[in-house]
Amino acid sequence: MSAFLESILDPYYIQVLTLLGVYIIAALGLNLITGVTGMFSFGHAAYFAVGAYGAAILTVKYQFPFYGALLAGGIMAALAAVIIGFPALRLTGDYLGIVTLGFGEIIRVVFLNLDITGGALGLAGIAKESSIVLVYTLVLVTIYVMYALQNSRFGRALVAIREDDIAAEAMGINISAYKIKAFAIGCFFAGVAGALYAHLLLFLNPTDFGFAKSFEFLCFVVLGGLGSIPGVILGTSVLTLAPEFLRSLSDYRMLIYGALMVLMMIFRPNGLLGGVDLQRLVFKNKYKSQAGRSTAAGG
Amino acid sequence: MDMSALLELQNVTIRFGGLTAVDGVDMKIDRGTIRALIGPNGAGKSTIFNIVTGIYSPTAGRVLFNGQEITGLPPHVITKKGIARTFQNIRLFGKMTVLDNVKIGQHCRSSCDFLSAVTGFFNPKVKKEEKEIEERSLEALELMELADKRYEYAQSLSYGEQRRLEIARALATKPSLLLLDEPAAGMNPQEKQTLMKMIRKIQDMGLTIFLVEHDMKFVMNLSDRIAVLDYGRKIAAGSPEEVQKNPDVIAAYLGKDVD
Repeated sequence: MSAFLESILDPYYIQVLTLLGVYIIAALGLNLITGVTGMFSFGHAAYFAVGAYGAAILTVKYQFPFYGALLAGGIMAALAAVIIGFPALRLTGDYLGIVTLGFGEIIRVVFLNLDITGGALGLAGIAKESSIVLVYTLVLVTIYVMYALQNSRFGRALVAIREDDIAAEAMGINISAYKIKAFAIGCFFAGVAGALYAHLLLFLNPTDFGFAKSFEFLCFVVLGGLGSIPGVILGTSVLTLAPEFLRSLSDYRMLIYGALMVLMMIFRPNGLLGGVDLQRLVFKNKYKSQAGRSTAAGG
Repeated sequence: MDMSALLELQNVTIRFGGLTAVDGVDMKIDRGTIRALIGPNGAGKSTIFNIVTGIYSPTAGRVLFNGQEITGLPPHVITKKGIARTFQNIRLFGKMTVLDNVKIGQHCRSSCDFLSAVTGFFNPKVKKEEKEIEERSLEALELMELADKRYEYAQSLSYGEQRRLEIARALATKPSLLLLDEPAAGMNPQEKQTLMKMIRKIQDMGLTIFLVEHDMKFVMNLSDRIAVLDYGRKIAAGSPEEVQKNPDVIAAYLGKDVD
């Protein structure tokens, strides 16, 4: 399948599309944390880095099988999230944002100074394992998991925490436990995405995982529509592909990219698909008949 | 110990810095009764609710529920033991549907976690639990006459409906004690009548009700016993008739004569 795609598509496009898939997985993870549960995280790139370095070190230095390393990358990122989450998730809102930013920078600086990560020289010699087919298979798995979570007892509890944490707790939800779980699951997907990234770009450098990358992930989610799975996929696609399509404009590329973001926020302040309930659109009749009945009863 | 008391406050005191918001309050609420807590603004009524439901931990004193000490337990544990509440300033999950709001009330009576959520579409246990949650939630909605609004967003309901939805959500936690913080606030006389009927129906289901309310007609009509709070102290308690005649209560509400 990969070979077939490679024969009909330019390798450059394959690379860009594969990278897009990797970002979608990471962005869907962040969406669970920020979009669904309402916890601001400015440090998502750090968990992405934990997965990337973790998996790459395992395959390069310990000859781990790739699939094992992929899973290990996710688990390492989730563990890092749990360790950081315990003190940090007592905070909410802007304060949590600043703390996650701080922890994100700490993780990056640690990678910059460790021997095993190659420090500022970076980590090279990673084998190419992330094919476009594998990445998009995992994108589908991620979409399924996120969809199932959001439509379960677990996901409802997360949305309740976002909407009103005091009421959620008074209704019997252990909010600290749920916040940690959501954070760990979201970071697990960042870790898996990081592991795929490492085995796609074949070279890792700590500067790639700084605040700018975290901010980029947050833009994917916010511009797509917080909490909306299709929205996040669309947001990630637009913001990842736009700079590539705008390459012909060379110097004006980032200028137009910035203007695009401003326009999107002006015309769709809740994100591209924010506040659009696709289920409601598809099953319009079901909701309509209910609404109709209630107006009749109310009148 | 008096076994008929469902909730008992023993010398409950809470201080915020130099302010003693609740000062040595004793109270016993019998099973199956409706108890009202009244008093001027800032008397400490909502603070008592927050202590009973675990949002605040009292500085001194004990709270007993079913004869068991619950002082200082976290709110979600207290809810699971059977105390549910509504809020004075409505705290609904605005961007969730009416039905989902009530489903959250069922949270502490169900158990499927995130791993079962992932297998949810294929797992009969999860499907069965989800079905039960939905059925019980609809029961609570029907009781509060909101079932036909189940797919609307909570934030789009009228004020009176939102207050009723809060009660439905609290009922979905299957409580034995229901705390209502100003349930009739902002309602018109007609809505208040409906609400009173609903509260009586809830009492008939075997629940004990503890409510804070400013509407005196509402309180006097509904309550079996009333406690009056002023500046954090309990100044009177008794049947509605006794409380209405109590000179301390009249003074607290209307002020004392100068001479």
